[in-house]
Amino acid sequence: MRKTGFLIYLLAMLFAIVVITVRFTDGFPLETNILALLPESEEAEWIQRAEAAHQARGADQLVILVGHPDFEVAHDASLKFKKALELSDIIEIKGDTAAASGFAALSKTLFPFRTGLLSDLDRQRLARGDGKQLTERALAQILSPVSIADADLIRDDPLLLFPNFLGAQLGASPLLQSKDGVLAVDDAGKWYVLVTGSLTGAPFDRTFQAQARNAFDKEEAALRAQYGDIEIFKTGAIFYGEEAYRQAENEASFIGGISLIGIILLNIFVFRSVQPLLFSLLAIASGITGGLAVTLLFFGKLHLLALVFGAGLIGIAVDYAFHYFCERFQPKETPPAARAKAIRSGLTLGLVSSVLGFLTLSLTPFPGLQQIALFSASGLTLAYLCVLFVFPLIDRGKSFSHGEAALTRSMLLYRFWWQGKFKPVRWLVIVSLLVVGGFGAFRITVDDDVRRLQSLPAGLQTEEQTIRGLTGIDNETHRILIRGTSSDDVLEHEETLRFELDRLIREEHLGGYQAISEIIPSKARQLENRELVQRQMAPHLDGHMKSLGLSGPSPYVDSNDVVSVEYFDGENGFGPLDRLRAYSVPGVVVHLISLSGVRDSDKLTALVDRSENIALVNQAEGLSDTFGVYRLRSLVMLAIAYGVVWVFLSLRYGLISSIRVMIPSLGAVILAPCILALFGQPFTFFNAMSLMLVFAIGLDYALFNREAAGERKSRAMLANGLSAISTILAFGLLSLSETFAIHAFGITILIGIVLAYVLAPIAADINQKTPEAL
Amino acid sequence: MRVIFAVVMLMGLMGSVAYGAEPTKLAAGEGLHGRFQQLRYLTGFDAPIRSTGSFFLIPGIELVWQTETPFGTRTVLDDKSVTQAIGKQEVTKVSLDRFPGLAVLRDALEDSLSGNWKKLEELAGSKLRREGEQWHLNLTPDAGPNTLPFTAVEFSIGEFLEAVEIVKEKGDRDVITFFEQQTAPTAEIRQLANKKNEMAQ
Repeated sequence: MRKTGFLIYLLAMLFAIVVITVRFTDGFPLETNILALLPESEEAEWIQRAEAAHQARGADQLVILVGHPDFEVAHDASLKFKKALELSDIIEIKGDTAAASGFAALSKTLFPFRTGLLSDLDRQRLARGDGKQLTERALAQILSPVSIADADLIRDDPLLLFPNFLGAQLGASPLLQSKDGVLAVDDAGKWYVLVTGSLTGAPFDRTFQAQARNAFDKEEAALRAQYGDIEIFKTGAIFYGEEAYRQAENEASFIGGISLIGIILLNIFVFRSVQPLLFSLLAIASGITGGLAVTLLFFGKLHLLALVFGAGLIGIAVDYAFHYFCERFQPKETPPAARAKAIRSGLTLGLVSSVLGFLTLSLTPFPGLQQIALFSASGLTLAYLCVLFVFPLIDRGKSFSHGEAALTRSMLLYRFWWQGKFKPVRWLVIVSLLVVGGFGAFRITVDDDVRRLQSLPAGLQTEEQTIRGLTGIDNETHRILIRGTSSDDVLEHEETLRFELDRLIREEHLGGYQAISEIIPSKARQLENRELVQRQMAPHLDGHMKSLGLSGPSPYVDSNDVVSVEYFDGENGFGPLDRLRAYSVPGVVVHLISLSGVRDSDKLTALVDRSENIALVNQAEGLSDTFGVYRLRSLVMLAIAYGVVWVFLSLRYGLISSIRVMIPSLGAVILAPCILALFGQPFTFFNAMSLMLVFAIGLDYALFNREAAGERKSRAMLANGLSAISTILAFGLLSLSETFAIHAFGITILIGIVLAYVLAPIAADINQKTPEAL
Repeated sequence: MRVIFAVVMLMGLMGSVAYGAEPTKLAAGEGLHGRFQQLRYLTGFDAPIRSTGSFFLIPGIELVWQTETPFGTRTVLDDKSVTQAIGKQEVTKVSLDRFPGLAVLRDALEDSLSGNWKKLEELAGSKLRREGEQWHLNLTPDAGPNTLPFTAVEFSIGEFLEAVEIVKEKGDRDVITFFEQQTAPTAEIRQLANKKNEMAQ
């Protein structure tokens, strides 16, 4: 048995090393994009495709403002900044983002179609037969002492319909002005020049984040050295993402360092030897190797967070090592094989329960959970083989002669639960826990809003507000996708929808929007406009032209020639329009309407729910919904995992007794969120995730209590105690983190593990003498 | 000898009076109102477009351009925007942030009407030059990409600004002549502007 076990371990390790080596030939296949952890979208296929196409076109922007009192300095520095970021392959400039020549070209392209292009206001005026007002407005604009209408424009458009149409679109645009080929704003004696570009990578990809940050910092330092008092503001999802990762890494390193020192001291203090520590490291290394290999085998690559969480779960291997080494606290000398044998049944039951639980978890369609589950299950199995079959082979140590006091103290908790004299206090504790749990249960609040769950750095927020204030660029918070059979079909849908969006703006539920149909109306709308101009302006046009000293026929041509979206394909492309053209294949065209300043997304949801061809997309809300769904799903899977484990344990303990074995773990999993609620902590996806660890470790504590009888009981209790302390050091300290996800993970484990440890003796069977070996 | 000296001094003094009628600069708290005629010469058009009306300048605040012929319209130029109204209805509002060239023209009009010639001399890079009874200043943008709505501005000045010719690309030009200019406290100017506006409606 021992040799077979060792051989299996060796073969498994060999296989794992081969898999890892093969997968590592092209570099470490580590996935660092946090979005890769999320499940595939459950949206309709056209929405998914449109979103993917939108992202692929560089939806993620980086925005920088370079400020200096001297425009030339700000101008030069901005161009250098842009060039450096392009050369570093961080951003790419698509089309003419400066929009200077782009907008002029757009005007030139649209001008021949001017009769069909009317601002909403002019359209309304003409529709109610108020043509005279348009002639008077044109005359007033021409007579202005600062008129910019020249002879050519007045001759071709004496009603100045086209500049008023363009002006209406400009009215919703930022405060930036075009100057020397860049967009700039002059504020309080300082020029700020805008640098924007589409990111070449994913903003939540750790590797890309680091590259972008390096390139940014390097160029910023170079420009500051060259120009001195230059001002630089930046914003973009990539900076927030990078800062969040950095904060999490710093905290994890700091807290991890403290916990590592604590665990080393704990080992040395209890065992007075470094051997248990080294053996534990071997078990963990075996676990990580196995976990990595199996995950790479099934997924091709490993997500950074799966590695971190999975490695944490494999940390249970340390508990296995504690149980093994606590077996050396015996007055009589025992061979290493006997130590392994003594803990085998507890270890096996613990492993099988955990693996069953993890495998149940892997059935969720959540790639992140699947990776963590598979990594943990396979890693834990390797660690188990290592402890049971490798430790005895390399263990040359004799029984510890110290430890009597520790063993005695470890039994205090056991006695509390089983000695008759503690019965009243015991009941008091049980009732207290039930009352606390009951009160807490009523105060549980769930919160999946990703915006509240992340603590945004104040510095970056200030920079974003500054940029917003100076440029008027408002972040797109939501977008509406509109599907049709052709561009013109979509434009008609847009026009109908914009009528409602304008109402939402008037009612202050929405700040603004950008849509293609604002610039390119549908064919039907253009023909309608044309007809309105011909019909309503005819009685006024001659007199108006005469008053201007203009002779000749009407310059407003009556034809069916209209401008279409396709006119802007290829070379005629105009950046702001291209961005709004999400997706197009024969028979399916999708446009998007970019929304800003959304104050009531329910109103928008109600609007889009009217048609299956319209969808509202909001990444933050989408992510929050996903968190909500998977918070619930992971709890359901946790319940199923308990069911599976119950069936398994029933085979050994019977239906009723197995429930008793599960009580400590189940109690901890149920009570932890209730207690957290009493402290005002919301229950989130991250809390639900951490309950997985409480589930597995809690079962281990109970099983070791159940399986250890007689004098072994004290050793099992001591091992459980050490395990609880090390788990709290490793994970509980994470509750000190300021990153919400890490804090939630840590605080849940802290409370859950304490509860699981305290309740674990309930699982014991005081009538049991020596358990049957498995 | 003394007589010769006195005569020379007197002649010098007289000369300086005749030659030194410097353009008036508005004092603090003072505004200007008067009448204007604007002729817009548009290339290829049969005749210039003529308009007349009153103007009211409250320095640093706004310039009100009340056109009376060929029809009533009121244009208000402040430091943020150009707003036009016909009767009580606003028909146009253009933000100067978007058209910085217009802001330059607006500032040039305000400075010239205020007699703030020093600033315009700095902008033009030349001094006022005297021609007969009038002073003149020519403002021509530097070579390079021109984002201004003019290629040259010629100011003709007596006690106040008397005429300004704004030359634009492709041969268009505006000639605005000012007359009946009067200074008054800004509060009074505002009252006059409001009264004129009420009468026009």
